[in-house]
Amino acid sequence: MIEFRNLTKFYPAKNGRRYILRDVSLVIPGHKNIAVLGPNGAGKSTMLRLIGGAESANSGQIITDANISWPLGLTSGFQGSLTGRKNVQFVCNVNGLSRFQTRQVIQHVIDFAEIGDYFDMPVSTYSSGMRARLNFGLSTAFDFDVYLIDELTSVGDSLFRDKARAAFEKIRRRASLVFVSHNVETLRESCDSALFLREGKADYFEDIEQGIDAYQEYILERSLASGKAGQPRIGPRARAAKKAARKIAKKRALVPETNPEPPTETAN
Amino acid sequence: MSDLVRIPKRSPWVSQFLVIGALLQREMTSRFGKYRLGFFWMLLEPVLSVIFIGLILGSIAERTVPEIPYAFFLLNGFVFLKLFTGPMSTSVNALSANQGLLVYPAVRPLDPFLARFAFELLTSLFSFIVFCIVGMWLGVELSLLRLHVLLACFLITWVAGCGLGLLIGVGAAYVKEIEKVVPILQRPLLFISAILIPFTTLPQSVQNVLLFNPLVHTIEISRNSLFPFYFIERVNLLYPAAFAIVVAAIGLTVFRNNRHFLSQR
Repeated sequence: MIEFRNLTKFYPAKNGRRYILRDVSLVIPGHKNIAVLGPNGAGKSTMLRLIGGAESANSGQIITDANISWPLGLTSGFQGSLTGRKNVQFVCNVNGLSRFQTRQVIQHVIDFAEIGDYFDMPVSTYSSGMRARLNFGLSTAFDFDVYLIDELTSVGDSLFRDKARAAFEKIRRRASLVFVSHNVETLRESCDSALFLREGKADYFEDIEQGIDAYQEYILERSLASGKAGQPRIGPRARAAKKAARKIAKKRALVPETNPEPPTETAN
Repeated sequence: MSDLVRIPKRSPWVSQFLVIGALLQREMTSRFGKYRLGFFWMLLEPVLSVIFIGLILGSIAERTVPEIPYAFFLLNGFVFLKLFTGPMSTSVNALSANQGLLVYPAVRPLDPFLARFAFELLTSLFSFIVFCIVGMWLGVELSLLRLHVLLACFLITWVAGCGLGLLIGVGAAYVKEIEKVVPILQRPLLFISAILIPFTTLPQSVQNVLLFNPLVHTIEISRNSLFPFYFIERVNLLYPAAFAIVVAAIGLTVFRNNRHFLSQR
């Protein structure tokens, strides 16, 4: 279980503060796989970094008794000048693992990542797919209760994706995932509830479909609003959005038991 | 599932110790790993500058310090200068060089600084001890009776450098140009810290100004503690100690007040 208590996080921006989270209080139950949804710049990665303890909130607390991984992203976690092996050793040293455990972790990473000789080359020479392999291999060597995953699988080749999917399956049986991705299908596949971020607010949805609906509705509203502003270049986008809206409406009509009022309100 | 490694929960102090240790190890590999002679550069650097300056100034300066072999006089000064400027120059990019590692929740933004400061202290201490041993072996008569004073000088110089280093580190996170300015500002320290000639040989008016430099005090007293016949005047340990504590307190406060900014990438 992860609880946010009056959590506020902002970044200094050109004119004043840009709020990622403004006084958010909510409870994310344990043993749930959570999809984090939201438009670009809504603070999805920041949310993961907050939960993972890589960044501190400006006020409020995150309370948890779970053993949480660091955010597994494409850009983070490794020192480019050091080799993959040294980076893995660093993580083991920071956590005070014994020699035996360190060897165990290294063996696991070698087996999982399958990057061959690159394991002993500086991480800065890696491709983004190789970084993802190393990062994912490293994190699956540890027994976390919660895994924070930030667009990690989007760059890998199909071999790695299959491997990652199998690992996710395994993880889901014993731990939970907090998953950031723009690929809704991937999220549907591995998550069952959703956290929707926008404009400093965060809402938790028990059912991922509700969350996805709320997200798509929000995107639609936004694109319609910018369409109304009278900019001709928005035209095609608004048309596409209207088409999407019709699709959602059709889906709603097919499934009558879904809540007819907008899910954003139901969550509040 | 049995092959999974569980990360144990540890007390903050133990975890802090582990983080500094891991960062120190990383610092060693990246600092010494890229040079062919690696570790020996730490000793060679001050020795080379002593030889260089000794060739230029040696014969004149030797007459001004009859109590101390001039090479040792210089070496002492250089080690202290390094101890003071080292934490400052390494903290300029302490954050950016370790940005990737801040993802791990155990690593806080202050940790790379602490690791680099510890690294500077350890390397300086090590090279100083080596120089003392080699010096004694070559017949320099060192007095070991006042080692505690020497140690105090060492620590005070280091803490002062660390405090300034923290301020520079926070400043460099806001203004990138500090990276360029710091080495330029450090350059005159060689001439205003009584490293090349004894402080007492300087004219009174110059002394009055140089006394504001805490490095003058610690360098002069450290020489006196190793060579009791070396004459010192107008210097004390209280001023540099107060300077170090105040600067370190300011540095830590500024760091704490900016911790949100420093932890974001």
